Amino acid sequence: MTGTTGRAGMEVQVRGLRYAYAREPAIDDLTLDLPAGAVTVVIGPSGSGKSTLLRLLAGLLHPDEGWIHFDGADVTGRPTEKRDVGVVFQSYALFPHLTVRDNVAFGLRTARRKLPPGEAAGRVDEALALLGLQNLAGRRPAELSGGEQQRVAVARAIAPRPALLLFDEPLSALDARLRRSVRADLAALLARLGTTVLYVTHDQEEAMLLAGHLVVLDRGRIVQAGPPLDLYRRPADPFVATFLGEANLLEVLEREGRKETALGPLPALPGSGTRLLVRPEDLEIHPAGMELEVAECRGLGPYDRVLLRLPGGGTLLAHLPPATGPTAGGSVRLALRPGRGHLLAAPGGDLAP
Amino acid sequence: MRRRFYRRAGIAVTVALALALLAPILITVWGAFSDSQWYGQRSEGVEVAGTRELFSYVLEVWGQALGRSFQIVAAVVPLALLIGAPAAWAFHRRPFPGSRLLEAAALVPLSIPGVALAFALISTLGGAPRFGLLIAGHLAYTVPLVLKTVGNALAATDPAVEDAARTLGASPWQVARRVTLPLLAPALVLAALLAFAVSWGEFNVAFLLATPLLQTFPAALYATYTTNSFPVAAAATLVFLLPVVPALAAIQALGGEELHRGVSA
Repeated sequence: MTGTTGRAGMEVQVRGLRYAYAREPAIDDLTLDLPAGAVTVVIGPSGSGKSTLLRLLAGLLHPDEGWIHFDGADVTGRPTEKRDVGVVFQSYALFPHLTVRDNVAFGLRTARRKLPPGEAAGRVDEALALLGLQNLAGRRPAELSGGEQQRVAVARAIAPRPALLLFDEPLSALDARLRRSVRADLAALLARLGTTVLYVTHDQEEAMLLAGHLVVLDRGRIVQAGPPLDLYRRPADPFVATFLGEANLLEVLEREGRKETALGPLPALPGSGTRLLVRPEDLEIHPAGMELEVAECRGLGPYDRVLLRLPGGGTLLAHLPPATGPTAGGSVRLALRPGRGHLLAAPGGDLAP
Repeated sequence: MRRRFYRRAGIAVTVALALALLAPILITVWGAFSDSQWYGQRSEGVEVAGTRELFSYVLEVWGQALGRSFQIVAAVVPLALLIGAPAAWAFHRRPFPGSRLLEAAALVPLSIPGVALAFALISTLGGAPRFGLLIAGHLAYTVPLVLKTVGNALAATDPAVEDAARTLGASPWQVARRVTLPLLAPALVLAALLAFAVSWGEFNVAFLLATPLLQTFPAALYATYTTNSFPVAAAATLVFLLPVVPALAAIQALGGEELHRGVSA
């Protein structure tokens, strides 16, 4: 199956991109590089401009300012049909009047790429096989389940072997269980294709699983970008911290020249700021820890989700190994695991720490 | 008990309505085929006898008007589609400032009396050929129907489907031919049938713009009703209804099923 691996993906450069819908900026001075052959996931809340960014790269929208280069070539003004991209739409946007096979074949017989019929048929078979759609080739989209439609949309986008693949929240229409299995298949497929990918989502689990490079977008601007685990462990601000997972943000106080939090003295940590980020799994039961009252405890199977009352008011969320004892009303001694925790600035900036 | 009452009342109302709507047609059919003594007389004074003679008389006298009506429909239906369908696409897929207002304004002619429209056409474009004026008048009534029918179909289709075709490398022409037109086909057929039915039966504009050489069949029908006997008029009416009934039946079938299936799939 040598043919199924895409061409080595291209490098994409975006500089100073701006786009506004009726004066409401959707993308605001955005600069971004998509490394060749890597999966870049753009995550952000709805209205953050992530879908607009994808449409700008696809050429379905054209920026007010800034430029886009594909492998060094300026494509800023180039229409969609002349860009070497493939798009998987949120609604799948399958052609309702065509069979699965004809949907997948569509991009092989257009103005951009016109393969001889024999070669096109081979490519369609490959794409269908890659997504396990051989038995559905004769069906029409209306006769398919949501998950099947999603796979047809992916097959259709990859069949022409574009140098850049764009995914616009492709799993958001699937139910949670299906989403989990499709997500894993998709991750394997993308790794195998080796195409440059931009994947837009608002789901942090999806982002963590798929991303080689993670970009957090808010109000049309990049808040932070980097390897996904770096962003999870060392977010730049409370927005990124809470968007990428559950987060306790503890205030850092200075008492008698020593910095401490509600959990006790502040350990030596890189970074600076007046908030200590503690992920729920960063906490452990420890005899020398701070004794805290358990407000709520819920066994979720893989771990117990425990809500604790902090002495100064407020609560602390901890994920503890299952059935380790705490019950509501009781108390437990908790400490920060060594090497965990991260200092960051308070929302709206810091006064002196 | 109550439910049964309402059900029966509903059926009674439906039957009464259907009878009221069908009665003129039934009477007309009866009139055309009844062997009455009231058959009109040709201008030459030859008496018309028998149903077959009656119909050939009608076709002979009003054949020219029938031909005119066909000419007009043949011009109006394609023109209405060529103007209405792209306009509907623009309103729905490439809206511009004021396009909603324009779309609403395009429906206004539907509520303007044909008499007023005909006078407006004569007073502003009086120098233009009558045939052209008549086409313009019919377009004023048919383009809004095309706009509405195609617009509804566009509103029911995912615009991302056209975007998808473009991202797959299709040129604008290929998108139109391979995606947009096939998706809109049921709506376009429906729009064409509606335009046909309206243009074929349009009387007001045609009557006011009529000249001895430019008379449509409905305008000629009016003359038949005022100058000939009832059986002649009834026979002429049947000739008039002949192409419309299948068109109306097709509209019903399309509007009911194909349209929804084709569009929402």
